[in-house]
Amino acid sequence: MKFSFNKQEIVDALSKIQGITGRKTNLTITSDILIKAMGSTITITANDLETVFSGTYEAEVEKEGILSINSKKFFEIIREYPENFIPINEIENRWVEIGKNDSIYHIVASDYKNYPQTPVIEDVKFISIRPKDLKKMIEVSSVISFSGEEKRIYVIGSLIEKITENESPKLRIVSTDSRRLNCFEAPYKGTLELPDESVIIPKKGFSELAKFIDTGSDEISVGIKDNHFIFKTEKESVMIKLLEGEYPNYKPVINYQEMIPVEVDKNMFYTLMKRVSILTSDEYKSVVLNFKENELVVTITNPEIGESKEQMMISFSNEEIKSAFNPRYFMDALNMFEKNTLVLNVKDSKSPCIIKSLDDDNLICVIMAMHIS
Amino acid sequence: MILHMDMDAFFASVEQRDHPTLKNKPVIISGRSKRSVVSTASYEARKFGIHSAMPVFMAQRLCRDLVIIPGNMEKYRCESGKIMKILAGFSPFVEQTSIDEAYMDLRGLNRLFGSPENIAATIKKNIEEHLGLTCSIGIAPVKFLAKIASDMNKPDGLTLISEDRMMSFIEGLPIGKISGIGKQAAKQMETLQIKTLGDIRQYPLSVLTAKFGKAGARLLELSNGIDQSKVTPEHIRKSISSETTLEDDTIDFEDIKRILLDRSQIVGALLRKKGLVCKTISIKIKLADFSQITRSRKLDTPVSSSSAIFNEALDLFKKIRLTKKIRLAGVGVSGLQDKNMPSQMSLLPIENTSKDQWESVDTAVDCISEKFGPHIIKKASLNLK
Repeated sequence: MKFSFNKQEIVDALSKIQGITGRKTNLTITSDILIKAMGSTITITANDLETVFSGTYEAEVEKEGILSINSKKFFEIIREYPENFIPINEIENRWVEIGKNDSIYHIVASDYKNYPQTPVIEDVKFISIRPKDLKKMIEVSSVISFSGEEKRIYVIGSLIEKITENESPKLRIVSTDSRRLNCFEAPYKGTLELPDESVIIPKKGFSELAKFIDTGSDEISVGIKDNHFIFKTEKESVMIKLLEGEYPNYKPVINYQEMIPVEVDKNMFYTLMKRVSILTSDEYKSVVLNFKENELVVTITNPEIGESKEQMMISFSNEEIKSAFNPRYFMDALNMFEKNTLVLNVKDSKSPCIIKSLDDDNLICVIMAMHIS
Repeated sequence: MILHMDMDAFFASVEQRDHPTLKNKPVIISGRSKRSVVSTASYEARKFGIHSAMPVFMAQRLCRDLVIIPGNMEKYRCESGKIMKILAGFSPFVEQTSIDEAYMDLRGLNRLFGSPENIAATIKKNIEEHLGLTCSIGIAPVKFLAKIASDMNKPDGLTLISEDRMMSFIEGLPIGKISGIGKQAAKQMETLQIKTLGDIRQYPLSVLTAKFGKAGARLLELSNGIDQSKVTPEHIRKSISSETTLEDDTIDFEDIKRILLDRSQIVGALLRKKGLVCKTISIKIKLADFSQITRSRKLDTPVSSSSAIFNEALDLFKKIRLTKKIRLAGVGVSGLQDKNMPSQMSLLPIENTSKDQWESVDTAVDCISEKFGPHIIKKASLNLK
């Protein structure tokens, strides 16, 4: 095969798929990309067996063909190549020449026949969602991360659910690690058919999607079919294989009806949490939140470092509540809210703190307390 | 002042006490196998030149009438516990350094128990009266001298190095008596004409550090009667583990599983007894060719139930690809912390139930074992064999 292309567009695409090809899988070939030159375009595919990217770009194709080449090396060569027009030429059996004249690279490609199959999914019914909302869904999902040894499906993946309570349908995402839980919903247009009204999407693949969202566009098309979450723009598409498993019943967790609402200023509370977190360590992660008459007192005692006390005016007239939390979880949660007046819903030392914005319930963050004896 | 107590021929004395026929006879305590070494020799045996760590066959060669007794660690540990309890009756500042040795900080005990000599005499009397055993005690202004003093008039000794006498004592203290001075160092000392600890003072710090490294600085401090080490009550445990050598090497999965279960129970019980929880669980496997495999895993939430420890241990074991028979297996926990330390609770009810249930089962089992002995209740699968 032989083709040449314009550097900028391809560099952008290659940089976005490094996360997919950089992931370790059971197959070494997943660190390759597949390039297919046909007609007047090239199609680049990346596949980590869970997330499949494919993008089609204009190119000058002299000789059609398919090629499997190391993603990282190819990206680096293209990115650093001194000229804007780059020729690629498979000179003999899997020996690929990149560039010409003063800068020439020869790279050994793999046998493209070993490259994993790209799933063929047809007749997808796409819904449209605002790019800002999709980005927020991804943020809400990926802010709660997990370790490499994690096995719980509901921690590795986030729940995507269709909400049709009101006239306009909404898409809801729920992410948890059992210590905290985020729930965010956004409106969409179109018809979405979901098996069991909900699916579980891997957080890892879903977070890769963020790079492909063009925030300048009005709407983004996504769909769910054949056990895949599908994202599509004019030139590019991403298919994420859904996870199979049970998702715990999270609805009681986000129910704040019988709790005491405490209004706080987001920025003030965030900076307070940031300050008290200074004295946390790997061993001592908890700060005590003491809700008293018109006052919130936050204290931390770390026998290894020292102690601190912060006070903040609040409107509170119930019986005193004393509860311990990890302040980092608050920082993560507060960061996601756009509005500045938030409500902390609290109850007792064994209950979580449920954070939401004063005006709406679009985003709800639940943080479980730490046990203090 | 600091007191150092060292039991006299501890294991042998316990046996002589419990078996009066052994009194005044050369007795050694050793392991059961033919490859064993002497772990303790009675004073009667020491007269023949028998000492700890000497192979049993050599001891037998030195003394034909030698009585060899297989040790009973359980019993000695129990006796040791009683001794430490007596010491704890005097001061909370007691540091146990081995099964039969301990330091005590005597500061502030004056008004309660009198002079250091009085305290030492009372301790000796109490141990003798309650346990029928003798010990030797050394008292000195600093820790390292207290230990040396306790060794000076063994058995049943009481040696006091007063503040006034300390410097002259150091002057004449043979350098070889300092712990950490081995044969190699002693040779070096000789070339420098250092015979006693006091001789160290002739040399500047630079020469000493050049010759002996870090130890040089410490030696200089010691020679001036300065010892920064303090009596630290109860060592903070960093890990708990239990391992066992198998009677016969095996590769049978069920056998190993049972051993891991047994060890997990032991480790878990110890952990809970100390009021701790652990974050890291590890296993150790020694193969027939003595090569060793260790695996460990850090948990998200600390645990203390034997079942949780066992599940992780078994999971770690399953990931090892065995090619040879196993001769030893063990389970360990580390990353220990107080069980009352704030711990993250779970939002989801499905996660808590089984963990909590096992913890309460284990607590109940611990109570029963405490009351009726360790063998009264155990996992049914451990009874199969």
